[in-house]
Amino acid sequence: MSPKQGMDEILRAQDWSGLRKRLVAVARSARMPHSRAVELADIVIVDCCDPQGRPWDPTREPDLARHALRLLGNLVSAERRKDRVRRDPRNVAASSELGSSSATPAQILDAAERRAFDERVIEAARARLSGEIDERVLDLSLDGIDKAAQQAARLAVPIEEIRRARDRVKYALRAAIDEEESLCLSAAGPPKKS
Amino acid sequence: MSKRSRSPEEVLDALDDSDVADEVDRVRAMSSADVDRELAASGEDAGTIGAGASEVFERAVRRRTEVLAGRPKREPQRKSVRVWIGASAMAASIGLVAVAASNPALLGLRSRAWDTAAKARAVAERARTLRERASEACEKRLIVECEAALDEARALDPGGERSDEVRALRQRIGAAAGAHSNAPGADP
Repeated sequence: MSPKQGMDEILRAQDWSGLRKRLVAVARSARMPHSRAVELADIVIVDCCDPQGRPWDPTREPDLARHALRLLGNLVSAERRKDRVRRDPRNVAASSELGSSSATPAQILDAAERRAFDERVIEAARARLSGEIDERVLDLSLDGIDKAAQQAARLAVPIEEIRRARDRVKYALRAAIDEEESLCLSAAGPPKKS
Repeated sequence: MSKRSRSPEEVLDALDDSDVADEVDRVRAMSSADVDRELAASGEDAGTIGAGASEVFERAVRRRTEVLAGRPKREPQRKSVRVWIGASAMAASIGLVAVAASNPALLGLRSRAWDTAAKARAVAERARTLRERASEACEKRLIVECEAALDEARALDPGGERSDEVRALRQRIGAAAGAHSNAPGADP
């Protein structure tokens, strides 16, 4: 039997039905709509078999589900980033364009404006939070400690409580970003028609 | 306030990524029955989702067989178009920002240049998405949808119309229209 035939048989022997359900369950819990969740699950299944995609290699990762769910996690994260950039391309454009070491005065000014914007957002988000745990979760996240388990250990609080606090922090941050952006837009006035 | 290096968007991304990773571990550890229950709780029909897997898998196997047989690959072409459009948008954005930033007299236009660059990037992104959608529609022989998406993309990014992939899609649309008009019973 050739290696290709061997791999084909291994692939056929997998529980694709159960895997598809798990993939959709993760995508749905990440707030993907039904159609996109199913689409992402199917992209992952095809990628797992496609030698030019992200093929599953049982010699490196014996568990297909682990490999596939990791791929899905990457897709979901990329999808969210893309969505955020689509809504506000300036966030990414700014950071890439202002990263040069030989910044001009205009770029330095832009970077300062961006920092001021970020600080206003953080303060507005903080004002939306009510509990001490929420604020400490925000502080830890700002300092790069962003895993729920790490935060739970640092604050000596049950992980379920930390997860609820994280949801509130994320909500507050999104609301604060939207609020600040609409304030910036209204200050700039309506866009001019060409 | 202490000095922090992370922006609010970066914090959100980090929290989301970490939550997705936790979610992956949680769902992976679940029993099949728990997965079905979880799906049902989010309004999904676990039976239908599971039943659809065999069709997807067969599609995946066909793709695998094609690739291993060394047939022409579509994906790299699509990537080259993506790179081309992305590079054009980036060059336009950087050019606009550089022009506005290099001249002190133009400092007042800085914000406008920034907005213009951001808008150009968003438009290029939208055109790219539309062309990808057109390509997928053409693959499924949804010629009307394919043409509509291409037309919409052309309105946003006329330059992209000259790419090889768009030309190939236009040819396919033309060929399909010709086949339709030659078909028995077709309108003259």
